[in-house]
Amino acid sequence: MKKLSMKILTFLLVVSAVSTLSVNVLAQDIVTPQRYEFCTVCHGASFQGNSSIDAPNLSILSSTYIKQQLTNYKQSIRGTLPDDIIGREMQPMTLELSAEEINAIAEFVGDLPDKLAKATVEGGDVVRGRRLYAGCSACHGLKGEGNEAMKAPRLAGQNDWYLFRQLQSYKQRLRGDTPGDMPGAQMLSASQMLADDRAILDVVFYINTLAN
Amino acid sequence: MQRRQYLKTWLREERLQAGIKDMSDQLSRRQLLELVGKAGGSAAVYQVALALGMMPGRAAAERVSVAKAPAGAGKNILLLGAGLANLCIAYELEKAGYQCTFVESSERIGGRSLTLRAGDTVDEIGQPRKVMFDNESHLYFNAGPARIPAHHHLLHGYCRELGVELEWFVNDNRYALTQDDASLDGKPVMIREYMADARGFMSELLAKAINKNIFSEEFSKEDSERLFEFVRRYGDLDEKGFYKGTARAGYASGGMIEPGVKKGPLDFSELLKNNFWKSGMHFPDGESQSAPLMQAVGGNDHVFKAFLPHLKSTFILNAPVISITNTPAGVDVVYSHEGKHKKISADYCFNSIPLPLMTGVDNNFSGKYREGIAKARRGKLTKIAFQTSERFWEKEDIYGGISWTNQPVQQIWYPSHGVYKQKGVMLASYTWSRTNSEAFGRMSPEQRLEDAKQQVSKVHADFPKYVENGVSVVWHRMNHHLGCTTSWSAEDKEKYFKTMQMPDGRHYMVGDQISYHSGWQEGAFSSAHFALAHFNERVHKA
Repeated sequence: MKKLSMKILTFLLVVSAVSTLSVNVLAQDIVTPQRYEFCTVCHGASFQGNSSIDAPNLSILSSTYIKQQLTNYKQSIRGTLPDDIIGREMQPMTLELSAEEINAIAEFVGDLPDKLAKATVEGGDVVRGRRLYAGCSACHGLKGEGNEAMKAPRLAGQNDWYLFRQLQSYKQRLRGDTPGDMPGAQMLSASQMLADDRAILDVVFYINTLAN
Repeated sequence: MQRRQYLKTWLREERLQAGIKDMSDQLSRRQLLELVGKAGGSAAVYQVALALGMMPGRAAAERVSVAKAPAGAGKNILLLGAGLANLCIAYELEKAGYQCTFVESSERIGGRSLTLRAGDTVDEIGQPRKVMFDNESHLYFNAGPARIPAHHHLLHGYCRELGVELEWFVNDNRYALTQDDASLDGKPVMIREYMADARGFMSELLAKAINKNIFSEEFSKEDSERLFEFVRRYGDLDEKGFYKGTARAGYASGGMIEPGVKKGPLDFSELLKNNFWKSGMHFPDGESQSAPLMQAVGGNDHVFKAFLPHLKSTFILNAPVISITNTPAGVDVVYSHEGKHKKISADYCFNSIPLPLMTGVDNNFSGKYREGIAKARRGKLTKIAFQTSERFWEKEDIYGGISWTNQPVQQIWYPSHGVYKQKGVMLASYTWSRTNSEAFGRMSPEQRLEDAKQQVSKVHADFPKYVENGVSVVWHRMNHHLGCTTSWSAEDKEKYFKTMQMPDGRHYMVGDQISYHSGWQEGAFSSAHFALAHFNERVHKA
């Protein structure tokens, strides 16, 4: 068995040298360091998010916010409540990351070029959404650009299905209800001003217009 | 027009030859395909079957011989993902003179065909672990495909052709156990006893009904008598139709130099409380689960490894795909490799990246194709294996097969190989329950082993004392995969499957995910040959 594997390996190494297809290096591209490539398996090749895995767009987020959230996950402040199924998928990803690694990932992802998500929700009331968003803009900015001082992440260009689910999660106390998560607690209170899924839809529908 | 006239004339002649004299006779679809096959070969059969909407419903794909590549350009093939489907495609295309390049995101070839042995890495996302089994040839388990049914023709074809040695795989073992906390105070019961008693009780009920002439309208007197005898033998009832236990359950004692003493029947109400009747009892009747099954000697990864010495392909490993672009003349793929993004252009591309991960890869596919990709859902399956200091199951007359429990581990697999050796690797769990698998997924790798150990001890009380080390493979947590088996809702499958089977431009989605047999090697080969048939046809029509 061992012998066979070695043979195959040698064989592969030899043929690898004579690629039949021309390969062009794209020198301008920003490349994810190999040790963080596992993040892209869920969050998309360019950190643009992946609806099939319920993983949000990270490319638009700041390094401060990403660092805070990774730290929250690692310290079991986020992604531990029994019904937070998706958060609990993310949480174990952070357990074996050191503080330095969290910093490095946050720096790298924070510097990525923004990839704006495409709108997927339909049928929202943009006028009502704008009115409701007035309550959000104090922290998240008039254009949904986010505010570092308020620890409020950027919303414009985020996946609408993610915003929708997070607003639901805050309302259902699946997020922001853990000691140590002050900005989360604020957001939990703020989410109560959205009466129901209809209101969430409208506000998310409006946020979709901010990216353009 | 001319072609149609020709086809009509040809069909008439073929019908006559086939003994179908009356032209008003309706040709069955199958007859039609047989006739088309005679004239046009397998590729033509695919085209016609496709037109008739028969392809997805077929039991098996035909093996395609790809015609020799035409002279000139158009020979460069790019294969995304180095699993069984693409290895098979490369094997067939190279024989026809095409040049193949693999781009594979992980560090290994084989995809989900994964056999774990001493020193291997379980590349769980964010928390990789080493396999600590002793380094002996029988101490392994198939974390991926493990069973080879008799009717998986493409797979058998390749095993035969490539010299993969097979051995029997025990799937159905009547000496294995069934355990349910709700039944018999949680005490495990030998499957042969459960099944013999269950059949005995059911037959007795039916015998009573026959004796009361309940079926007098359905059956004549003679038929009723035959039915009574049928039922009597089915359940091993006495002459009057009562069930009083059977040797089929195994003897309580004796049977060799003393007369055999039958076990008393178990309480039927207790049998009903054991959920074994819901799935495990009928499991070996399943379409791909019936005896005899087979496995590759030394590990099922020998199936994919058998392709490798025959391939001249270039393998670019550790190379996740960033984007896929259909161009008028081919397909451009950007991938990340050795710290750089690289663009490669091919004439055709076969892509086996799991559909849920494809959602995160930029592309310019058409609307419905993209929708179909986004609608695919990942399966969640878990296998947990332990190396044990002794093959304690053999002392309990268990050689291979599966015990079933209502614990989240669901199934306990005993190895079909390595009989009489000192140690063994057994599966403490194979669960395909989404809930159970998600629960295991949320635990740390160490906690999973601890939980599995405790659960198995409900079936084998001394289990923990035999455990030496273990490893868990939670497929929806595995790097580069994030799932095992891909599926759509019934509605989405109806809506998108045919679209996904067809190429978008010169890009083909392949793999077991593009079959009705996801999670099986034959599904991967079927998808490969379906795509090859289409490819063959388009290249040679052009």
